Amino acid sequence: MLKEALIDAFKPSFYEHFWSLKDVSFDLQKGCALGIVGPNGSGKSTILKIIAGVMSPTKGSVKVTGRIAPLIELAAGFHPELTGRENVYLNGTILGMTKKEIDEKFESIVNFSGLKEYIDTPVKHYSTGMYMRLGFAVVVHSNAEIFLVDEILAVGDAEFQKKCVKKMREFKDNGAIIIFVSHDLKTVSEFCDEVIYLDKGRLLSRGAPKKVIEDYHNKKIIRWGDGEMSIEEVWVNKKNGRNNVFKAGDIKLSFSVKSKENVKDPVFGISIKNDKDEEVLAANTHWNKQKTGEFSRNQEIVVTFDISNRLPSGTYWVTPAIAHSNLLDNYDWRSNMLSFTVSGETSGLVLTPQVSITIDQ
Amino acid sequence: MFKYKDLLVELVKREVKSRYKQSVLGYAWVLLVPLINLVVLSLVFSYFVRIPTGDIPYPIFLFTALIPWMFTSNSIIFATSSLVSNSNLITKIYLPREIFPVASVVSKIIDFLLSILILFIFMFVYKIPLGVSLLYLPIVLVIHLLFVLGISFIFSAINVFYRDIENTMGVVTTLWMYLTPILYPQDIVPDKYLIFLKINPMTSIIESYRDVFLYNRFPRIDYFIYSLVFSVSVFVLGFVFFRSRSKYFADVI
Repeated sequence: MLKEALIDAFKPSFYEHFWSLKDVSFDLQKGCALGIVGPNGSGKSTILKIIAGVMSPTKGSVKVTGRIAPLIELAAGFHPELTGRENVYLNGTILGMTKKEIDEKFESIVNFSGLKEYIDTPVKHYSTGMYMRLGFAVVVHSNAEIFLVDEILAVGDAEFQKKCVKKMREFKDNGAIIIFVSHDLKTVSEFCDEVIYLDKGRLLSRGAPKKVIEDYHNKKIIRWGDGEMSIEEVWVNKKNGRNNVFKAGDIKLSFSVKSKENVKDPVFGISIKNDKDEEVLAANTHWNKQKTGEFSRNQEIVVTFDISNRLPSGTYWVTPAIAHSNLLDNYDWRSNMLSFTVSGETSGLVLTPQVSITIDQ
Repeated sequence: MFKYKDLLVELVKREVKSRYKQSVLGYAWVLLVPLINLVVLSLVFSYFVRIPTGDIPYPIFLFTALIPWMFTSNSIIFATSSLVSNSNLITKIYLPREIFPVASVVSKIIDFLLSILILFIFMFVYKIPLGVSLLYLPIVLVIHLLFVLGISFIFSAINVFYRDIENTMGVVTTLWMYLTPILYPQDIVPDKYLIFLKINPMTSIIESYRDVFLYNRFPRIDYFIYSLVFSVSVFVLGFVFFRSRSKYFADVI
């Protein structure tokens, strides 16, 4: 008893469990570049961390053959008080090189970075661009076979970026695997052989860059869940209303639900995203501390969310969902099922949205 | 671990080099701090309050215990926060996590060895002969090191979950110092309290150093065995505990 209590005290505990990644599997062959796209919080960086071995998956496994170079943050190992030279050695060994290897490649690293004159200056005097250049120069000399790239190419001047992309291509042609996480769809489609599209930890689409990026743009309606309850229809204000342009003001969002089995305490929720794929509002019965009760087979209900605040004018996408009471599994989840537009003169952010939820049997 | 030898060397270099950058006296601080401590404490306890130390001059008596103690407390304090202060690496790159507390302790060993040189100079000045017992010094050092590493593993791992640990380390090490016969010899402690001193593994370790440095003899056998068993156990336990917790570090840190 005491032992378990002590051990449990040193386990992370979350108030709410959630899967930052679920049912995502893929394998990659040598010389392949995989792009990962998706909105913020979709689990892109978590994938990189799991591959890098920094985090271990709760379930499932990762098998990696080859030396990994994470480009998640190029200068992660840099110490500001040390000189460029000292940091090359430090970062090099962090990336798994031996001192001998670094000695041999030192010239080449410095030349690649273009920082020859500053190599004996403490890096705290470097600009961000210089930091990145030196960091990248070390990484490309690390003999890694797998590169994990997280948005880094966005930093530094255009010329250096070009140099980086060129170097990455070279590695790829020589059989390296590159996993590239980015919001920059253009670079992704140019550079990658294959792309996966994630949202909320789910794999929504996978395949050739063109197809996946199209899916991403279309925000294809994706559905998952065990189907014990299903979301039938969703509407704003009035069912069967043709209008989907609304003046700013209070809105009612409803969806109809049919239960296919006997279900206890499901959690009803919605998420509203704007055109930039940013979540502007999320609400569910669990957060509102509402017990929803029991539903029998074939029962039909309507769940309504009264949103008493103003959304800025723009286009919105509604994702309704029903989760199990444990919040881990879904009965039904339909992404971007409905879009509506708010017109009018409002702008700015939604402040403390008040949401009340009613369930009509 | 062997694979990461070069990394360990670089991390230790980072600790040592960065610590005294932007300071005039630089690495001299490593020796200045124990010297200042020594002077102040010697003054207090050999002039203001007189502590009997037999044939051995008080400053020497003190210094033989003070430097191993400073190694213990500095290493533990420094290692305890080592994971948290390297969180940017821990969340980004896979490295064996043990390397951070180990690097902290190793960087303090360097300080320790340098201050042992100072001790030799002092002994020469006070005309205390160095005996053959010095050959036992490596054994005592290894036992001491295992103990410090074990404690460092435990505290640094717990500190990831509860930062309270690093905040209490200052007080804990100060109290611990007074409960170890560093400033005073054991024989002035009343018999009924002696047991508290003896269960403290640092007592055995400190007394072993004194035997080796000052009294030219093999460490008292009961102390030697006690500290050996204790240190090895703490090291193994600490390592196993650290390993079992390390998979959660990146989530929590």
